[in-house]
Amino acid sequence: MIIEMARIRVLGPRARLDATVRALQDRGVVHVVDAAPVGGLRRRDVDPIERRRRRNLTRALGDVEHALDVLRTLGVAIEDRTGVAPPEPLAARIAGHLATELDRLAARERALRDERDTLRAYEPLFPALEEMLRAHHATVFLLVLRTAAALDALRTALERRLDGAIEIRAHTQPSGDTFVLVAAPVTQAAEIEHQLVEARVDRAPLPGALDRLRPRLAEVERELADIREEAAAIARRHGDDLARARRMFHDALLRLEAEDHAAATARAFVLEGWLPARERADLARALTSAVGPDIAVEEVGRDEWSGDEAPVVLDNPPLFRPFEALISLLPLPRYGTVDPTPFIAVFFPMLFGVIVGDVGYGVVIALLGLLLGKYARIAYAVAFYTVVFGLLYGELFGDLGTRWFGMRPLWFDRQEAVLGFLVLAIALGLVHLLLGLVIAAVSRWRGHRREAIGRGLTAVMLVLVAVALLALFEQLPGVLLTPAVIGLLVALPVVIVLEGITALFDFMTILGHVMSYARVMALGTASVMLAVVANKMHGAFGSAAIGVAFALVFHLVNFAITLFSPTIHVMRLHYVEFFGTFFEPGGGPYRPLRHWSPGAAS
Amino acid sequence: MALLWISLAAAGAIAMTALATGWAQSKIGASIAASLAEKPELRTTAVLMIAIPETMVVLGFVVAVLILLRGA
Repeated sequence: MIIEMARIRVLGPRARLDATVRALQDRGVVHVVDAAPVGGLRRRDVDPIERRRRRNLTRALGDVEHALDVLRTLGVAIEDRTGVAPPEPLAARIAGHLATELDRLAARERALRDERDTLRAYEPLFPALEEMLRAHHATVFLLVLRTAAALDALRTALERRLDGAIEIRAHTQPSGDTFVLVAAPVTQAAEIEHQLVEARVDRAPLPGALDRLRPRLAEVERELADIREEAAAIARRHGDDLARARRMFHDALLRLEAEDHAAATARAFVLEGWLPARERADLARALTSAVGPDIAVEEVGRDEWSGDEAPVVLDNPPLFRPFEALISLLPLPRYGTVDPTPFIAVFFPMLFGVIVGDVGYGVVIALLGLLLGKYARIAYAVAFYTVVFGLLYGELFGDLGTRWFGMRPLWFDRQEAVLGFLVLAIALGLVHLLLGLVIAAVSRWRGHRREAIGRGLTAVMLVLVAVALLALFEQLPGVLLTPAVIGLLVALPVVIVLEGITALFDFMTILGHVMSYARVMALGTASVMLAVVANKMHGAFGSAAIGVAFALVFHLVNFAITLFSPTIHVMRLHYVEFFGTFFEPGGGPYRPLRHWSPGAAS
Repeated sequence: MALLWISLAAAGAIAMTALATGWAQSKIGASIAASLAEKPELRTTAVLMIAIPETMVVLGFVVAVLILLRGA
């Protein structure tokens, strides 16, 4: 359900604005909005001191976030901390100093890592390079090739041109790059140079001070370890302060943002906001106790605001709450309308169960639910209905239950009664959409009576169409046909008068939507047929083992399709067909002023 | 001979609607993919848009089943 909201106005002396906003943040229930500048009130001016403070806070917060980011890149993660932070100016100074210091460390660490990576890349070639450079009559080239095939082409080309008077050593990196050392007679150096330029082969500079390469590698590792140790020491000394300062600066900026919504006179301020109606009395008491008796909280009358302005908070019983995730894919319902969560919580698993309807698949879905954390209840509900309809259809991994255990359907066999299954699907659609129309009629009765009567009459017309069709096909007494048609002919013009000519098209659309539920039968039949085909694999191959393996793979594929396709289609039946009858989107999110925390939207 | 025509009619009902659904989904899919690249928040609309033309093949399937059942 959508919980009842109240719009409140908080009034007080201008000097107490900051304390009031602080108390509101501590309470964390008021979604602050622009206060109406009426009756001598005007938008509060922001003085230069406050502007400067805001700039300083933003910069300090940037420094804190930057310092924490750099520490993370240096391998030191700082946990979030609550508690008392250093005073704002001191925290800002510490953050600025640390951001600079850590930038220096990070730059040094980057340079050392690059150097280490280069040295490691050359390391396997060190012995060959030493040997080649000792031969004073040779010129040595260090090349980088992107593919192993290029090495063969290079070797062939150079050996053919230089008549074998060269020496080539290569090492391929895990990245796929190949480092190649080529030693050639000095007299041939210009020729090779020319060939390499023409072939566009990348040249790498030869590392200098060869005798220092190995010791340098160890030295670089040591320096990197020192840097990480230095970062860890900084984190030990200032990590808590940084984490607390981050909260403090975020909170201060959130308060300033809330103060921007205030209207004021020279001496007083007014803040307006939304909160759950049940919190109103507690908030008034909390403000009086935190700020003082000169703060007044009054409720803005219901006639002064419309449902379009109020933020929306959904509050459902724990059983239904996981299904709010399915609603969150749509815009929030408008305040004052119906929260569709309870309906989707009942009909989503039920329609899924009608489609899949297999005891075996239901049990597997329930087992998968164990891995789903907070969405496990959705899986369990879906599994429950899948098992129930599996028993009604007599299916356990398709017809395996019948073959092995003599399982019989408690209601009907989907493989045989295709037409019956179609009728069931359409009947479910009819009931689902009738429910939607009734919800629309009830929810609009108070504010939009004309529309409510129109929706109610549309529901009656839908029933009359069903009665007429059943009478026509002799499923109901034929005597009902004429009254049903007369009823339709009377109701249609009334609905058109109430809702306009579009009501006619709307009714045709609803009839089409009822037919759309035929997909329940189509998907269900496809699902059971695939399962039966999977079971037949067992006998279709010469070897029983291969047959069983194929059957398992086929069941796995069918199960994957079963998880995906019915989910999408049942969601679609809700979003397009069912919600189309009553759902009114347009609600704003509820974002109360509260203390910042990592992961929460600021 | 009648069985042949019944089978062909059922096959035609499902084949034509499947082709129509595939064609519609290819157009919608390409457009939605482009939209999602710029506005990931449209993902729900994307799923719905992709699922909407499937009504055609579903009804084609139903008609095919009815043709086969009536024929039988």
